[in-house]
Amino acid sequence: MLEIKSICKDYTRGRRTVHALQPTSMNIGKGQFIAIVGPSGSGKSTLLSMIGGMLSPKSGQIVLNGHSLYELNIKQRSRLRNEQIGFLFQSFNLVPYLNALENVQLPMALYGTNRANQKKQATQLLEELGLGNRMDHKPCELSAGQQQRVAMARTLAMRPNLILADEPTGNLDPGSRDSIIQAFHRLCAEGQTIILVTHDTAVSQSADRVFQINEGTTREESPSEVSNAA
Amino acid sequence: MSIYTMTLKEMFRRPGHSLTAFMIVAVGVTALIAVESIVTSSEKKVASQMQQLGANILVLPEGVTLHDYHSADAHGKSMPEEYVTRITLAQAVGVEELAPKLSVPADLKGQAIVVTGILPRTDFYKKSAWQSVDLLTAGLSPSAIGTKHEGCGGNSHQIAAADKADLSSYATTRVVHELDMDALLVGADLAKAEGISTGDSLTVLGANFQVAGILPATGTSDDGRVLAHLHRVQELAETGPIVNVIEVMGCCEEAANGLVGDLDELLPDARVVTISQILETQIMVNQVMKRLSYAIFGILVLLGGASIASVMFANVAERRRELGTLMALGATPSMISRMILMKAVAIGSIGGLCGLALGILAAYVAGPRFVGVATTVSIESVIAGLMIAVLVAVLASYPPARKAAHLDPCLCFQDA
Ligand SMILES: Nc1ncnc2c1ncn2[C@@H]1O[C@H](COP(=O)(O)OP(=O)(O)O)[C@@H](O)[C@H]1O
Ligand SMILES: [Mg+2]
Repeated sequence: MLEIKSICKDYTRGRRTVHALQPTSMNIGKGQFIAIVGPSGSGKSTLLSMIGGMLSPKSGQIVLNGHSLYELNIKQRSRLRNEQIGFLFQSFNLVPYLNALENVQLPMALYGTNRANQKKQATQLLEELGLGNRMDHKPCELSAGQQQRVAMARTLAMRPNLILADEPTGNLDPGSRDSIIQAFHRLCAEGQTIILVTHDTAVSQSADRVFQINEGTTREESPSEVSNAA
Repeated sequence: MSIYTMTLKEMFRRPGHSLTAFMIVAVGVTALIAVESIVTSSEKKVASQMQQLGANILVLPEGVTLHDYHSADAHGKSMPEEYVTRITLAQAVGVEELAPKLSVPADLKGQAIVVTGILPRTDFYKKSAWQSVDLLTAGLSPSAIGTKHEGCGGNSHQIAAADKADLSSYATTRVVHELDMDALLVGADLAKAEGISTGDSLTVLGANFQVAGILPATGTSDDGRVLAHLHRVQELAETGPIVNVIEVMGCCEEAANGLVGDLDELLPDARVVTISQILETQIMVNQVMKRLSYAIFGILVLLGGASIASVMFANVAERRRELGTLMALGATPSMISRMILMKAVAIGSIGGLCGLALGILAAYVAGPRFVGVATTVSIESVIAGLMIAVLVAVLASYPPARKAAHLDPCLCFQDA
């Protein structure tokens, strides 16, 4: 469902060029749980941005469910991201002036779902994640674990085909971390594809496949081999 | 939820952040509406006075300056009534009517008022005690005071035959045809305030008067006074044969200009002024005010625009990660720029509306109190004020909106 064909990326700052990502290819099937590991600055977020249709590669191609992402125009790409890709971030990125319910409604609002359905869907998701009694709380009134669960509900709101998560457990306590990871496994079992950037060996060891990035070079490893290289 | 409700939520989360921009817009619109309305109303008043009284000339005692035609007699200085005779005898070209006046303070039902003595047309040629010459025996026709100048159609100062019995003609022609010695004409406002109606008996200046008529409202100081026969007022107030002012109604404006010189020569001890001279100051003040108001408005538009732009730029910079996240969640660049523009429109229109309310209030309060005109706020200036406020807001927020639309969505991966 996701084909990454030899993409690479350079950043140019003045005269200096950073080769953030060397040519990388991946072929990812539906329902796979992919972990991407590597030291800080190795190009993990760059790779995720490109897969998410937010950063065009210097060369190469990304095909998601038959759509070559960077052959679409920016509006089509935004639309595709809205409908098919869900994001989860290390610092949750909840909109501070919206309450939990409104944050979960957000992707649906951008899509144009009517109000009643937005509310119904968002309420259901929050209840499933155990936040039924926190719906009118602003993000600043929630703990880190609760915030990430709200963010998780927001990610799932549009029932995406692909979830891209950039160190989603980095700011969480072990308990919250485990519940997020368990949720991921459940989703994968239901056929959800997940690409997760993590520093956490325990997390990467539970993934279906692991890619190790080092100074922009990507190499697939077997999950059991992943050590504390990151 | 929609991006519009989101925008409002974002704005009202910290209204203080947009307060300066909001206030500058409000003050700009207030200034525009208030000054524009007051000046326009004042200009209208001047124009209507010009139209109504354009051909009129005032003969005043030496040393009197004035700014309002209708209170030309309220200065306390006087000159001999004999001047009236002199003007009549001179048979000046272009004089249609003469209206000498004497105002004295009096008391009506315990309230201080002004009684103005006027000389009815029919008594003009009657010999008075002080008159050295009998105008009728001097061979003058009582039908005209002066002579028309060549080719002039004349205007409305002559009382139409049908109106001769109607004392309210004073309100438009400023002369009456006939007035009994014990008759009183009461201004509209005073009559209303005191509940006076035609036929009432009133004691003024120690004598008994019959109310012969209530004058229609004119919007001038005449509405608050009482008019009686000049000679009766002179007698009761024991002033002797004096007047405060002589209104000279010219047949047309051209004649009025020529008359000033003639009258100056005729009455070297009096001051002769035209309506345009009286209104000149007001016209000048209006022009200065208008220019000033446009200048102030222009400055405030620039300031308002600059402050909206800077508020919005700061807002976009502060929300980089949030806007990047919105893009990651599927917001298109045009949605992002619409959110920014909408916020600016909200600031502009709420500021504009507050400015309108304040401006209208200021116009209605300050107009009558400080400028002496009853102000009306035109719907055009209201619409213009609002539209300019919104337009400035949109134009000023266009660059920040563009910047927001071009933000890099990858910002969402930056750590907080
Ligand atoms: N917008 C950018 N401009 C210039 N260099 C960048 C930019 N984003 C990332 N980089 C550089 O690219 C490299 C990879 O960054 P990133 O993908 O964020 O790494 P990671 O997520 O693995 O920590 C780093 O050296 C970083 O400094
Ligand atoms: Mg990163």
